[in-house]
Amino acid sequence: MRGPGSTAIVISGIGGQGIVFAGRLLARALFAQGKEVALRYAYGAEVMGTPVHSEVVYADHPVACPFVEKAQVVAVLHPAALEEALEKLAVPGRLILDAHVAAPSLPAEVAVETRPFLARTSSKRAGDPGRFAPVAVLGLLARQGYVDWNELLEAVGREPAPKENEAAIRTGYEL
Amino acid sequence: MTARELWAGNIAIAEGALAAGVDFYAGYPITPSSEIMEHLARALPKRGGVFFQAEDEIAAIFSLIGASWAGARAMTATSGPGFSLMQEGLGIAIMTETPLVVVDVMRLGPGTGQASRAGQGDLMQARWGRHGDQHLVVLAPATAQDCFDLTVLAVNTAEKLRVPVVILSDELIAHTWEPVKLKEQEERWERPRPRSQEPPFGADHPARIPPMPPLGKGFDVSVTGSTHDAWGVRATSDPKIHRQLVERLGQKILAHRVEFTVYEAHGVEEAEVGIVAFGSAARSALAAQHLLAQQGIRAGVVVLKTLWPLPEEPMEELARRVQALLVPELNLGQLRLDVERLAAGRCPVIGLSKVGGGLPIYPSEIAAKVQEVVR
Repeated sequence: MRGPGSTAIVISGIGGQGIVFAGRLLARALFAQGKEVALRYAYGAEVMGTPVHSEVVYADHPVACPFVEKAQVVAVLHPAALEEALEKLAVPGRLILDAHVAAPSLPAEVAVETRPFLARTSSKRAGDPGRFAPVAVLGLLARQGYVDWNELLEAVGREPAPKENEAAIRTGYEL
Repeated sequence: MTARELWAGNIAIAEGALAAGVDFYAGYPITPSSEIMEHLARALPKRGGVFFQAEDEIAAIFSLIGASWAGARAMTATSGPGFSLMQEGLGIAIMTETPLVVVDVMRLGPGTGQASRAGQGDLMQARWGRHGDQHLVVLAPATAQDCFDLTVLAVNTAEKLRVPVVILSDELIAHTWEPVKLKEQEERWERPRPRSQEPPFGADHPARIPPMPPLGKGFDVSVTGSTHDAWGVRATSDPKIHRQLVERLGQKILAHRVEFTVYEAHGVEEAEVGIVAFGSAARSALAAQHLLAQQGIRAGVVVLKTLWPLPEEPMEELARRVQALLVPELNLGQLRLDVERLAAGRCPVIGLSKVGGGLPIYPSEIAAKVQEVVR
């Protein structure tokens, strides 16, 4: 419970994928929309390859509690993060999976969507764990009405690698 | 005209310090406080301020004392182990009536504990961590907005009362990004300059704060951590002087407490159960209040933002009205001891302690505990 009328979105993956970056972008875009927003993300000894989560809560009124117990939307971009991420998924809820994450058995009230975020955004950089995939998820969220498209592009423009990230958002929008 | 920013709690503290005119920062990096230091390391030199990375926290706190006596608005930030190292310096600052601000972003201890993970176990240390009879002011933010506002309040209170002020944050507040509304200009308390023959350590009334002469500006002043008279002359065996001094150091804070006492009371008048909390636990308490309302349970919540001296009236009032008081906290029950004292047997006081792993107390956990109590 984050207070009445609020929405929680969790983006999960592994260290190095840009999960924290995507959470920050999403929060900045929602903030620019005039939403009340709270962002938390992994802080500690998480390193490349271990599960990382970004949690965004937003509402039209101040967010009472920023600590997410259950989120209406959970996006998972790596199998290693799936178990922890599912603990945060509300029922009914929406689970967004990258295509290489096997869909678990879930109650019927959970809508599961699978998209090839990594396959469509992976760079040629050696060892890239899919660093544009979480940003591509934001494109899908914009299409689904969770965040304003223009504010998302504005937010991307103020961050490093704006062209690559904008391309990833557009890819996600079209998936 | 107000601006709005999206800041993590630690950034809001650093920006609050800048808005309050902090122009000297000394510290040693330690998670989960390090962003405050990083932010001020970049910002202060651009504004003509001084940033000093000390060799350890002991050097940092004593640098603050020197800088403050030279006229600077001085601040540091640290976490558990560093806060422990600063206790001696804090005691000296209390005794020498030196304005300064120490931010302790709490993590799990004792010792190295679970480094960087959230806890609220430094509450009693912030109040009582020094030897001797001594008092200071402790403030605790629960939101990023509080981080900004209470830092401004901390700097002004330190300057006004000539006392160290501790800001007791925790990792969960420090790293939660939230909107912060800014005024065009924050109020700044300016130190009064003493007249030449005014004693720098004496006052004829508990509420009067002796003006602080800046060192190096023509004032002849002795600053010592030993017991001293009104002129700063050591008096290491006179019982009367010692008693007068330590009593005045506490009384001056109590006499001005209304100026820095901050708390929120939500739904207290109709409450059947009360919840008292500070910092991150207070955020979950407020959400739990909504959950309980859906189940027909009226919970009143007191959010403490001044922790010392403790605002006693709202808790005494709550204890008179409710069946029970619940105190959720990320420690083994430190605030609960005070709430029990203030409830004075009027109602049961129940603790909800969570320590380890850095996890917040979730609203559902508080709601479940309240349901148990009501049943």
